[in-house]
Amino acid sequence: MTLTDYLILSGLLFSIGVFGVLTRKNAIAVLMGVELMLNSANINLVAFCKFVDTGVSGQVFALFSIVIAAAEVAVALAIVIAIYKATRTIDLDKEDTLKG
Amino acid sequence: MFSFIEHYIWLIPLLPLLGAATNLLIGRRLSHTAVNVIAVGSISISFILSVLVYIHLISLPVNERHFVDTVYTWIGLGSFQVGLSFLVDPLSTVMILVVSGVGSVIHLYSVGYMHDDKRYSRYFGFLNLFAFAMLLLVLSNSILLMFVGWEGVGLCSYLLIGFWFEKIENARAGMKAFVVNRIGDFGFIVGFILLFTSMGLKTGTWTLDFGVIKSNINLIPVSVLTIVGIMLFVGATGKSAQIPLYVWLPDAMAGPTPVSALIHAATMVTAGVYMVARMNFLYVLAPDALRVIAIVGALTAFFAATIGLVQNDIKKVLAYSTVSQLGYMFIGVGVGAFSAGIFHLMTHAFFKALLFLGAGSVIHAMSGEQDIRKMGGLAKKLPITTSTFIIATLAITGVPGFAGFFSKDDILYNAYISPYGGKFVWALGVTGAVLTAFYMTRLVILTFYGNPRMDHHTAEHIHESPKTMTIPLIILAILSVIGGYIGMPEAFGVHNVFAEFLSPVFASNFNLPEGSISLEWMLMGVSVLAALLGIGLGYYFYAVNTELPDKLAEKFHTTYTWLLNKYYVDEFYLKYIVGGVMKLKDILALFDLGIIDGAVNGAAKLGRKLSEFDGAFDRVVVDGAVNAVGDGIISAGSILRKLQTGLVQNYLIFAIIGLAILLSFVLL
Amino acid sequence: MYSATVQAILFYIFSILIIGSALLVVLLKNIVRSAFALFFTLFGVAGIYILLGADFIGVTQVLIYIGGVMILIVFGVMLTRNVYSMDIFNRLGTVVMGTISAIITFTMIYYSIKNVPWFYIGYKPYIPTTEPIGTQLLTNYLLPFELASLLLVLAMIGAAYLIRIEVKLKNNKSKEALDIKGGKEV
Repeated sequence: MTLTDYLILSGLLFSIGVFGVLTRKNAIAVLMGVELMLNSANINLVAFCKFVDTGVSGQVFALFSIVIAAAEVAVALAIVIAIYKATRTIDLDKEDTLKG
Repeated sequence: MFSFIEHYIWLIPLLPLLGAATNLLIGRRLSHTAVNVIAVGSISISFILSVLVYIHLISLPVNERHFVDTVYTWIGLGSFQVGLSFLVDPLSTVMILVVSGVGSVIHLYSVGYMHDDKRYSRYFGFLNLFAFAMLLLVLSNSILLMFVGWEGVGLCSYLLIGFWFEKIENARAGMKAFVVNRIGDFGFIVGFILLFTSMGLKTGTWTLDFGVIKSNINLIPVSVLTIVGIMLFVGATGKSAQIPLYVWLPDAMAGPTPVSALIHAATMVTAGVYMVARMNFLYVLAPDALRVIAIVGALTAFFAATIGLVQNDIKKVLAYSTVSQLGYMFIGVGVGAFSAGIFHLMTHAFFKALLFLGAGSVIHAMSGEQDIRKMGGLAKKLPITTSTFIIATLAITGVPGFAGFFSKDDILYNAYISPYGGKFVWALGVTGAVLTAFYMTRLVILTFYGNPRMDHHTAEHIHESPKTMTIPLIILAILSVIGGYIGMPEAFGVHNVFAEFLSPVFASNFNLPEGSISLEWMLMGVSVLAALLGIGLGYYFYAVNTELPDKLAEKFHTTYTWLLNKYYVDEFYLKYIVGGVMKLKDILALFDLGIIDGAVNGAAKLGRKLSEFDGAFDRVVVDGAVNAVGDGIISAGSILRKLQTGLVQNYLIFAIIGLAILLSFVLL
Repeated sequence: MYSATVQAILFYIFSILIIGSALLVVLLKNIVRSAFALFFTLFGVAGIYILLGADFIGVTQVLIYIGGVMILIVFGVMLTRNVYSMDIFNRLGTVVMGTISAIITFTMIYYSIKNVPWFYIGYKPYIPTTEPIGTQLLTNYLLPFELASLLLVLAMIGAAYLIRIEVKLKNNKSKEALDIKGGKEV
């Protein structure tokens, strides 16, 4: 397949991820949307690595992205659990302390 | 012989000025003796210097008896120069002799009269100041400098009349003298300014010096000269107490008696006569003015004599007598007989000063009583006073042999024959002489003879005055006798020395017609008869038939009241003239309050309205704008804060939309 | 290596898997099911990696993402599951805006993909990528490598710190402990 197909795929995945981030109420659902976006970016990177003559830099980049995504999920879940313990809810509609 | 005196004329007025300055400034710390020496000494030295001037003057030939001594230039405005310069000619010599001579005598008299006054040094200071001003007046070489002296004597008159100002009437009398004088001075100023400008415009000579005016006088039209002459005479009526401005002189009797003698008999009041004589070159070119002077003088002479008939205060009688005699002097100069007028001025100075000083002596003896109805029988106790007083009375009534006879007769004769006088003037003069004789006799009889009418307490204090007061009386009495012989008329077969002496001053362009010797003898006889008639009537009324005056007073009650109240002239002036001025004052006050204050208040109101409007503008518009901005920001803020929902997802939406907008610029 | 059509078929299969699972992730109400959908999405992504010849990355994806991240997410779901009747979407306005934003995002990406003249060299032969990646990691990308390990340590510590709880002992001293029950005194 051509590069553009992979790019469109990743674009579509990214948009779905954006949708999920912006519309879900559950905080973990939002986190899953973020994961979708990260994965779409990774697809992009790896696709470019295959179709453009740059060695394996794209894949190295994707590797690092996976590492960081993992770390980020850990910390994000820790935050979510901390919030859950404090307020017994992870409904994002109720998290408006910054309102004003 | 004393030619050096030509350069020291300025000493004559200066010495009394220095005496005045010393006595006024430090006199309070000096002893009475020191004050006396300074005051009497300064004027006596002026008298001696005046005698030296006289001696020097007669050593010069007749045509050259005239010199000017200029000390320095007072005003120098281009071509208009007025110098502090003194003119010495026969006229001014006569005047300085009279002023300093009679002045010295009166200064000496004041030493005794005022010896226990508490403002002793101030009195002598004022007296010396007056002498300075009068000497300046008669010695000046220009009208402007003469006016300085003119005002100066007015000022000193005010100061001295109101000397005992603790009594309000004395202060009022002083003010009355000053104000009435000022009214006259207004006329004087108009007169000499008119002369100055018309002469300047016509001839290009801008000057006020007598000599220069004299040489240019005939270039000015007669109508202008007549007006100038009359206006100058208005000043003279104020200063010399003629109708209508004589009203201050009787009230001026509120001052100390030596003041009345010096200022209101001998010197200040004669300033008007001197002025007319000095400006003779003007008056002879304006005959109408001369006629006015003669008629006013005649009327005053008669009018004042009628008032003097019934007055009961010794000084008031003498005051009206002074007004009347001044009228005679103005008859003299008014008919063109200038030397006759000056002659009477001189003799009048002698006997009127003597009369006033004698009256002062009587008042002093009577412990301050001035009403003659309460006197009587003083002759035995006050011999010197009585005898000198009688000598003066004989002089004033014109009894032959005494000074007044020659001078009064000279005037009446010239009044009869002069084209400016005529029989009416002469008749008034003769009638006035009868009245003069009558009231003077009345005064003498009531004061010195008859039964004593004073109370017991006063009677015990009657004593003759001290020598400082009697010696002047004697000196003046001698002068009242011999003073007339220098002016004897031609009818006696001798030269009129006085007139000859003064002739260079008056001679230039005027000549009185010559009358016949027989006419002169006849008129002389008429005046003697008039005097004797007056004396006889007075004797009859008051020594023989003493009831008669009261009976006549009752019978002619209205006339008597009118005379006693001085024809109500003062009341008339007060009501109409003073009242008119007061009404004018009210009108002007109305103007001031209404218009000027109204304008000021209106401006203030306008300012207040403007500031109210401004405040309203400030509140509504400016504050409104500021508040609107604030409210707008608050509204905008309250709308915009809704963006801050606190929900992260909303923020992300905004971020994406913002990114889309940005990228659309790049990609599209 | 394979013929183009096989590649195309595989590509489409994996694409449908990814997109379908992704849609399920964001649209399912039950969060457990949505987590499973994510699981399938990640498998699909790994397949795409293999299709692209990135073998090492594909395996790493399965190991870390599915073996690590997914487990974490499932743990998280389990630990916070006490609200059963929660709506899935937040307020309506935001849903609409979110949809629009997603559409806008896709439009932007599509537009940029279509308008940029990509040049590429066609197929490259397959080579095992493990060795080149390792070489790159230790030569050109050494610093990010080390920093990544540091980052992991920090993330661990941070996460542990974030969920600690103060424990009050009976003798009024406090000590920190990890507590999963939430907010109670021990």
